[in-house]
Amino acid sequence: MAETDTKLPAKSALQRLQEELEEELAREFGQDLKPRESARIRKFLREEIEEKTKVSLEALKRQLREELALEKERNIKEALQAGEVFYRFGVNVRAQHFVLAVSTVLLILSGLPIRFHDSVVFKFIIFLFGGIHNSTFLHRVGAAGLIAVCIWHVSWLALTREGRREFMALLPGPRDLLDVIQNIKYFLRLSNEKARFDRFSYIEKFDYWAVYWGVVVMIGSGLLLWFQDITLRFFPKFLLDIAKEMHRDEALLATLAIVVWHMYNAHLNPQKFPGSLVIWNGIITKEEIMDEHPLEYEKRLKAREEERGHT
Amino acid sequence: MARARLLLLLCLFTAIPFSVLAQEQRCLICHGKTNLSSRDASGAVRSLYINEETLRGSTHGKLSCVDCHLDVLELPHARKLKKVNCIACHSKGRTFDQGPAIEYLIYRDSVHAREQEKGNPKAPDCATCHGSHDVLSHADIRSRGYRLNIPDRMCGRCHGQALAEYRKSVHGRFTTGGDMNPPICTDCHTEHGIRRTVDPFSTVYATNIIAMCVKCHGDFSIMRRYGKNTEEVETYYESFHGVATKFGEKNIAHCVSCHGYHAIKARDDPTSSINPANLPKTCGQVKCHPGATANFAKGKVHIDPKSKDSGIIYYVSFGFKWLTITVLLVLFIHIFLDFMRKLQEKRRKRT
Repeated sequence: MAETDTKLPAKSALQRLQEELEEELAREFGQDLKPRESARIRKFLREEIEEKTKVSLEALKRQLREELALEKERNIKEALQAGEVFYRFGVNVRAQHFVLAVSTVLLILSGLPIRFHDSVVFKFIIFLFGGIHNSTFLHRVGAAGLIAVCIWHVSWLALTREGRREFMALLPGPRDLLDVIQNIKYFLRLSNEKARFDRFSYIEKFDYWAVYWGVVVMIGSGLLLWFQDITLRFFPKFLLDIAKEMHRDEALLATLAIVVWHMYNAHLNPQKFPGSLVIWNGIITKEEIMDEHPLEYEKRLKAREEERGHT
Repeated sequence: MARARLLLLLCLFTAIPFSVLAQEQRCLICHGKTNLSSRDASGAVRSLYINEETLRGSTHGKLSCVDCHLDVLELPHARKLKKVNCIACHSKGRTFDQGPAIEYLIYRDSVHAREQEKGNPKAPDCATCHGSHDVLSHADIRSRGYRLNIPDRMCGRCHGQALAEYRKSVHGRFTTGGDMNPPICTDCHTEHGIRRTVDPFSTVYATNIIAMCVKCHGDFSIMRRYGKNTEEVETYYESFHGVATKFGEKNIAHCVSCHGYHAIKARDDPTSSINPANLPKTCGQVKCHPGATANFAKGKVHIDPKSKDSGIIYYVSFGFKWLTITVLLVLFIHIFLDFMRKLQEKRRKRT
């Protein structure tokens, strides 16, 4: 290290500083410094400089990070304007999905052990919850979340323009049947053309409307069971038994449908694995929208051109 | 010399039984009198008469008096004799010097032994249940320990209230009629290790009592003889009460919460706790569903959704089963086809 330094034509800042310090000290003491002492000086200098650069490096990094984030935001805006990416879901929809997902997972985790009470896995889950008392309480917390998100969603559908527009787009129509037929043909290699979807494919529509069925059955029977004392004041016990049977059967159906259908279409299929971020940040790329929702893409392009034409 | 030794041996062998007999005869000089009695500290008369026939007929018939009454060393003996110590003989493996028998060790932790330690004069020891001079094998029909005699001649002598309730119950009626199968006291409470209901190690503790009922009610070969089946057990475990018990909850209905314990009665008995007329009261216990109405009695309690007897519930369950199967089948087919096609597309794009 020392050899290579001396061979270099220009001395490093550290070396120059060291020499200066050594000269000054030698002048003060009136004699040359021993190698051990000059090593001490070098060490002192190095530590001092390292300490200072560390602090300034942190500041530099923070600054760069902020700049990058800003740039990304600007990039997204630019990309949106350039038509590279599109907004698929607004904040409201994403928040609804978040509450729905959290409460559903909570409901499944605290509910399934009651049906599969002999399974070691579910016994362990109940153990993690800290006993059946806690898990039944959490089940009610999840239920409250689900009921809340249902009220929220229905009022969002009714009260906002965005909601009404999305609802209309989600209504099943004859086109979906044609899409199913076309897709089956495509799957069986009878056709090379995939079904061309509008804003929502029949896959997504099924997922959406299945939740309606599930939620009506689950919340209806669940409320009867939750407030069983009130239920039994007005209705015979066998109504409660029917509610219980429906609750446990629909629970299994809903769980399996979510695990099988939603997990595959949103996470496990080769195109999306391990999942897409669209439900978290609301952004869909041009390639994705062209592949999955070509009709919507065309509509959006047309709308954009019209807008530009007007302005 | 050899002859002398043989003679000595012969004398010994003949002398021992004679001496035993002689001893017995000496005891029975007094204890053979029917009117021999004493007064204990409280002034109650206690007979000291020993019926020789009973004693000779008992399982201990071949023993002599002093084999058990070890502190009789001379005659007349002390006024107050010690209690007979059964574990002097009844030890592990029934041999001497190996510590007490397992029955005694279990008994030592029971509520009876603990009460006795506290000095409760009513608490039973070995002789209280098994008898003293009239001990017989439990296989002997005259024995107190004979299965059908246990309720009356062992437990019921002290636990009269429980015995009266038990005799009126379905189990008690069968055993009164000479049926050996239905449970008697010891089947639920165990024999030597009887504990309090609140003791978590007790067989009749809230979370343990179910196992006692299931021993028979979960066994189809037993239930078949009485024209019943085991669906009550299975359906209980499927109900929320059963699930909660499985996860270790104590304050939840188990078998005896509804059916009672000693006074278990059939559903059509008007005094039964599970008679439809009494169900609101049974369900409406303070700890359970206070203010239960007649609506609690409308509908089956042990419901098996797989059986057609459950009515609408069977059809709901059936409908959901096929709905689930159909939906999932369709979804799986779609997913499978989609997956294969997408893999193919991916491979095509790569090449």
